[in-house]
Amino acid sequence: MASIARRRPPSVPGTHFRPGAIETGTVAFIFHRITGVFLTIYLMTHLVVIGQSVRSKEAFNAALHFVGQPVFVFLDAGLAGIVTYHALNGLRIVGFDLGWGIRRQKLLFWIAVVLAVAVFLASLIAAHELL
Amino acid sequence: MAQVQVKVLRYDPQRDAEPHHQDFTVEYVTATTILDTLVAIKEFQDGSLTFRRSCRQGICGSCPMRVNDRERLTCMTRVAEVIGDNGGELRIEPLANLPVLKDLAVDLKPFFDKYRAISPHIIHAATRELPEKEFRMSDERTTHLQQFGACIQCGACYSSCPIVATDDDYLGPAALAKAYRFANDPRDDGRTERLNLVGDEAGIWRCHTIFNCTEVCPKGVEPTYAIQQLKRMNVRKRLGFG
Repeated sequence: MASIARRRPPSVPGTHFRPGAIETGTVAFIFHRITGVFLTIYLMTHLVVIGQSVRSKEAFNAALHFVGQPVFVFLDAGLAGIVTYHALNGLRIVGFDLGWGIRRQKLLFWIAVVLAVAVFLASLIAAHELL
Repeated sequence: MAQVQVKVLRYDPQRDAEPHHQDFTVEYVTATTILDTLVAIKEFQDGSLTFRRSCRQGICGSCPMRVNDRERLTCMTRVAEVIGDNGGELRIEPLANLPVLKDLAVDLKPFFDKYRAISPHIIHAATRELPEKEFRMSDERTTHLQQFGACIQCGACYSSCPIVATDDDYLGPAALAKAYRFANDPRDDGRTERLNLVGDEAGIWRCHTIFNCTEVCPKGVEPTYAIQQLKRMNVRKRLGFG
């Protein structure tokens, strides 16, 4: 059984992500983990917001009004970018598991990043009136 | 001659409470390798410095270390390559994820235990018919397997993997790459056994395709590639086709 408490540390503790030598694959993994956590938190809050519709028309309208504020519109654009990155990197990984794209892993990572940033910016532009 | 500031991590478990860096200044030329600087330090400055080395030509696997946070085979890496044109410092530390015996020498037993655990040899079924002369294998297959047989068991990949760092049971890139080398060998009858062995949560499924192992392997083994192929083989077997 894996036991995180008994880990074998590197000689210089805390350097298992090798701060001086972080490569593309490591960055992809870290971003995927961070965006995954964000998406989990987002999903839960989203369910709470949408769930207001089960309570009453007023509650739902109030909730939508609350998340319609400019700061949330901006966060929504960020969310679009985060989803794009997580989905594309996820596809990159599924590709690996099927034996596809392993030798093009860096290129695929950058495609995911570029598209995520593009979606974020496009969302901002599309929603600029609401900001 | 140019000089380089070398910071070496020293640690004697019998005397030191904590590992600590010690500074040395060493002269170097274009061809000087990192191992050369360690030998020079041991010879002329501090004879107590401990490190492993043997062939000094990149085949024995004795001398990998973390140099400026990145695993390198020190006999095959030039000082100039690591510190660049403007002459940064050279920081040398032992491999990670393995207990330190002294200074730059680590205990490779856990690494080799995991390596042995995947049965790194041809397994013949009792029922297999042995050919009259030799086992014939295609050129492509031989070339393909050669890449994964090129592993010199240096441990650089094992040290670079953050999953190895956070999971004691994970088999690690070298053992898994070798498992692939044998699972893909037409002379081997242990395919099912091997796929079952590596197909659990301490095996291939622990790999998150971080690719550090592929980046640092001095022989170009690409363990990540091997592990993904094992995942594919495993799934196909479980789904019943292959």
